[in-house]
Amino acid sequence: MKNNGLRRSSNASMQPLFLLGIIAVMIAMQAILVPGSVTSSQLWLVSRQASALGIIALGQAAVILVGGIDLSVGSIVMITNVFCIALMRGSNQYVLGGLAVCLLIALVIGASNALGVLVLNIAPFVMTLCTMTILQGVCYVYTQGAPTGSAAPVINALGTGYLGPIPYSTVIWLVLALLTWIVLRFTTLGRKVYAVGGNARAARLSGVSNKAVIAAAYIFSAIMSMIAGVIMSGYLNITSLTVGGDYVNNSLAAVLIGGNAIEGGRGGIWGVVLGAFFMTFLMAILTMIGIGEVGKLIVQGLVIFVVVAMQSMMKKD
Amino acid sequence: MKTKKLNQQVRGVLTIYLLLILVFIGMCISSESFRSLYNITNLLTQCVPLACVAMGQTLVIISGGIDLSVGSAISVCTAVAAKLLNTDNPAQIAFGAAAVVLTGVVVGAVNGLGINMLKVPPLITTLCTSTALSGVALWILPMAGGKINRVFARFVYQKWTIVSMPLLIMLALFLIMRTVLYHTRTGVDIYAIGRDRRIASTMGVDARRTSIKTYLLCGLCAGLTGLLLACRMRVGDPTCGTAYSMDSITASVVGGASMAGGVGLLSGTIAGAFLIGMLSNIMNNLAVNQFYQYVLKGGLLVVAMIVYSISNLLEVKRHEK
Repeated sequence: MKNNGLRRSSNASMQPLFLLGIIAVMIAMQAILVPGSVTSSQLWLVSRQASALGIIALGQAAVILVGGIDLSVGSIVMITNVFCIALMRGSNQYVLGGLAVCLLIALVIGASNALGVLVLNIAPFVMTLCTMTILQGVCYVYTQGAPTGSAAPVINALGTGYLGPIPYSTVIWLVLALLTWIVLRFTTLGRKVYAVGGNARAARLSGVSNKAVIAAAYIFSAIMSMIAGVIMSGYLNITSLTVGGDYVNNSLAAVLIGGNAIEGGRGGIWGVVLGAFFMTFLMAILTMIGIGEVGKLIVQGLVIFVVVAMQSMMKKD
Repeated sequence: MKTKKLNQQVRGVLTIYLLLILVFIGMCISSESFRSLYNITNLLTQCVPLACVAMGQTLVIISGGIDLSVGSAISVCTAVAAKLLNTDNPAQIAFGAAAVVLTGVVVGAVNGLGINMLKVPPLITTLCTSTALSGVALWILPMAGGKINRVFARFVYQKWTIVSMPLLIMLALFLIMRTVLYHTRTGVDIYAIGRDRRIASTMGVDARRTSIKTYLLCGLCAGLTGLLLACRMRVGDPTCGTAYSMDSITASVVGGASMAGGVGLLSGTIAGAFLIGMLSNIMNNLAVNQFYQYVLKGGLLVVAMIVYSISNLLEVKRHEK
């Protein structure tokens, strides 16, 4: 048992190192392509842009670890964005109430995802696809397609402010990542997450209540997306009906680039953190060297594919 | 055992058809503009592109994979069509149409090879090709435009009463796919690798080849859908396919295909596609706020899934007795 755990940890620590190497290469490339552009403040800026994606990817990683998938993350960001701004009405006094409502919405969404997957036995992909579509509809109907308003000053500060040289949103991201890592690594809940994802049947037979663990993962993912939604609301300072657009694809990509297995049961958190940073950094570099939208999309697709393909080849050896 | 499973599947498909007919009859009774022959012809034609691409998607889902790139592939195909079909030369049009469908097949080949040779999971491979292809579509055609030869477009979208050319094309595709899936060795292999890839391999199925074939066929369907859409719009649009990835999966699943693989019928998928297509037509007809379509589409999927899971539970109970 102990031996098994050790092997897992050595496997898991390989992937972040691999990714760290790639990121180092990218920094070097940036320094060559655009001399003098690599500064710590630029890297912090990238990390701020990556923070929302990074936080969502933490939740996505948890769901994938238990063998599921969550397609509703993007629309949770969207609905949080809509309600966060509509309820706070640009004033600090409504912030707590607004946050409470957003949290409640996230809990309900996470719970209904879990309900569909566990009680109704709907495949996770399909169930979260349903919630995604329905939530999009709710956002459009609620705002009538033309949202107005701006974020409360506190939320705006959260999205754009700095703690020393480090943006607040990066701090939140890293703290959440640390907490997730601690839970996965040092608590029984964390052990159970890996057990359920690795072999659901064996976990159940050894007394793990699979359903509680899986439900926890979906609810965790919904809450993470909600936090990302609040940060994005502060960053954008408006309601945007396209804010959730790329988060589903990008969070999946970040998790898989981070070396986690799509079947569940294998992977860690730091790979996912680096994966999210990698994705954002790649886009930043492409923008910096003046590649247009077309080139970005093509390069992004190719690079993600190559990175995942390389990892799957490394695993074979 | 196998026939029992199949019977259950057939029953599921019949339920969907029943639902489809009920909705249709209900609408015919309640709305006068809906029951006009013109609207019904239109409705049947509108649903064809989704039905075509969903058939390919079903094949992939039965084999235990998933193809998220069909949407972008369709966009690329309409862009290619807009570039190649802007001519009056019949030979060039024939060549162009073939090239459009071939584009879809090439995309399928890339997916199939990436998944089976490089061992990258289907979800991530098709996600990557989807991203890259949406870039390619914008590269070929930065904005909606170009032109499709009018005579050709009119020929492809020829409508008579009720029957229309797209409907016939879909029927032909259905018959071909049906033959492949139910009456060839490949079809049996597709179901086998979907149910359990390892067991299928030990029984002598070439899992790689079979899987690649499903992606090729899926690409073929996407290419055909791109051609149909281009002829409908008579221009190319580099973003027109976006919704088709998720919609085709929805249609397959509503039609009874299981994401776990090994289960699914083509006729169910067609019913699923028509149900989705009909819903948006109904909403337009009843002048419902267009935004509710999202809610309804999601709701339809939930209801379909609940029906399936209940019927599965009943089946299990019956076996226990």
